[in-house]
Amino acid sequence: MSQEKEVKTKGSKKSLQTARNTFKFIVEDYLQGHAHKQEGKPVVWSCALAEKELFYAMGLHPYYPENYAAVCATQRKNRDPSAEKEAVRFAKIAEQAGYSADLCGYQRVATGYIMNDDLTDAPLGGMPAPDLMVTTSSVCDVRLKWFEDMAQRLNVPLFTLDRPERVFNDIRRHPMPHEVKYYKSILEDYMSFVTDVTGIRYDEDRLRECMEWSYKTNEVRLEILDLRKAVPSPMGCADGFATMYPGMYCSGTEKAYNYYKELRDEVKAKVLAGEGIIQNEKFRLMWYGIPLWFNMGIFNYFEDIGGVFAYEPAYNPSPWPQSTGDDPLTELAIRSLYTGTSMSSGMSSILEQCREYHINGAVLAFLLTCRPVYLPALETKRILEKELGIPSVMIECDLVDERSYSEAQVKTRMDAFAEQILGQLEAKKEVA
Amino acid sequence: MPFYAGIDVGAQSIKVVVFDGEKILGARIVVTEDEANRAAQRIYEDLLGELKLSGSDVEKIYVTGWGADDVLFADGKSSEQVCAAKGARFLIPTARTILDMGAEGSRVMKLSADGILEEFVNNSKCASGTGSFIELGAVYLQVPIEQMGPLSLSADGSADVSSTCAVFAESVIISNIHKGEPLERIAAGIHKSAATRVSELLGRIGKVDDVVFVGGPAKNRGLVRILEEMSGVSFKIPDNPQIVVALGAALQASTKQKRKRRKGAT
Repeated sequence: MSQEKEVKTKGSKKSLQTARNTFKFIVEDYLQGHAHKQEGKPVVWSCALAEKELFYAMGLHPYYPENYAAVCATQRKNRDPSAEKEAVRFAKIAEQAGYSADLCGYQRVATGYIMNDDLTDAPLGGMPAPDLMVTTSSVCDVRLKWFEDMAQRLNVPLFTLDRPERVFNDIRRHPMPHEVKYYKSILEDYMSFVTDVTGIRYDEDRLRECMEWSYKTNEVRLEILDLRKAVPSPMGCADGFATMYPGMYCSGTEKAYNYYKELRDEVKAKVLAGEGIIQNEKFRLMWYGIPLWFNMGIFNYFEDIGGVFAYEPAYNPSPWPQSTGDDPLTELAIRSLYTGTSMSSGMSSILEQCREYHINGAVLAFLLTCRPVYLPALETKRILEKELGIPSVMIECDLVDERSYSEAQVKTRMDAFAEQILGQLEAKKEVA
Repeated sequence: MPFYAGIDVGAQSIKVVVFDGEKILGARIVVTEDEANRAAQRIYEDLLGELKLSGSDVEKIYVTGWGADDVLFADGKSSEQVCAAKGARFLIPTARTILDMGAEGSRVMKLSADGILEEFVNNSKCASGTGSFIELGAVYLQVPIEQMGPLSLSADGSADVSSTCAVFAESVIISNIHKGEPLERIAAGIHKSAATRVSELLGRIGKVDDVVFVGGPAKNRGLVRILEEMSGVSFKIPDNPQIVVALGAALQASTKQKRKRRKGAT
């Protein structure tokens, strides 16, 4: 009776064509990077929340080990269904070298990948070897030492974008002059660092051009978010997470802007037609945190009983301060400092979004290996219940390592959660 | 009179309850290693035979538990959390918080004043804080599981047993045995270790009285006493706490059938 059940994970069923085309976008981006490298041009490895315009303005093609770990979580070697996921293969290499299984899955997979010696023995032909690395102090503390570790292993120079963590109640207030001055000096140091490593000089006009694409892209992404408030939900979390790559990792390019224009048009058409992800939408859920990249099919779990994952706070854009057209480094510093990590303002936003997106319940990714997601999850659960009476359920595991996933345990919780929400809706109906 | 059946396919045993809409007619608890569908069918049919009923007398069968998906002859299924809450509330109508401790999982449910499931929390993946952890302890101490409670109650204190991880706890139990620690103190330590994890769940959910304790470990008086001391709760325990989740499944079968009839009538 108590035999271990097989881990069942699968990809998601996406409702939008643009979302289904995203993997092609990613593949093309990887191919462009490989061609870039073959032409002798520099490649940088970096991470989310580093300002992507900084790379494109300096002629660097960026790759992101964290995103690559997510790709590895969806792929098996040679597409052999009996093979373990590539993320598991690489994580095991890191663990055999002594990296603890309690560390961030992104870190273990990326570290295992570079310890595997052959960087091409991996999905999408791997990431080309970097000429330099750039990390950021923002949000995730692991990335500081993780990138130092990778830079040492690959013997490449590393720069850290040391951005002040703006942890106070109202992160949207305008950054203080000393904060702007400090972060602008960091950006200037970054430019000098890239020039020292690659010989490429900072071109202000080029940076301004990239920033213009970013602003335009951000505006379109905000339009999409607004459209997603519609009932029935025209674009759920399966589509939301599937379409984050161009915005998170290619911001500052025309191709990212074009991608979101196409996505916006598709979502708008669905809203106008009153078309939802499913036909009979009964309840709407929020997904808190980073998804389980190895099991995106979880976003379709409740569809048979009328449940849709309508909204996810992760990876979404927020309104930026208006472009002043002045010195782009100052403007970039101000814009970046608008992004804060305060839990209290994060909670206020989540409450506001739950109202706007008509959320009935929340599934919280309780990522034991990811402190920036794990710690606010507890407060999110508490405040949703207290302020809005919204129930939530927690799913414990890692972001990319499916060995941490217990199918039976998740299923039993999800089923109970669905009964809980449906019971509450039924009770409300009876009272009405 | 219509009859309903509830089947709880747990990690270690199968529990079956037959219910007439007002009271329990009969129940069976069978520890089995057999394949879930076959075992559940056999236990269900044995119980029907004992009650002198046939399959056609039962209007609806609901199944719950870890192996619920494997039971093919049921008419519907419901989660363990909902079934535990329904079953406990039926037996003790003042129940607002329900602790269900099973062989491989523990969960706590909080109900609104009118009995709607408001919130639930589950134990983490570790086996500490579950019934199987206490059973494993009994194996190491070489005492029958039924004796763990009385043994623990006779102790003048407890041995240190880790509550962080079941695997660590096992090695500490063995080490305590080797050191010559009295068995009753080790038994108390094992219960304390499990109770620490369970009382965390009660704390997380913000328990509201009355708190009802269901599941096999609720029969263990040694565990109950330590858990009550640790959590400051005075539990209400049904006479047969092991069948409460199966009873909840039978209640779900009855509710769904009545709702279906109402819909058909309108």
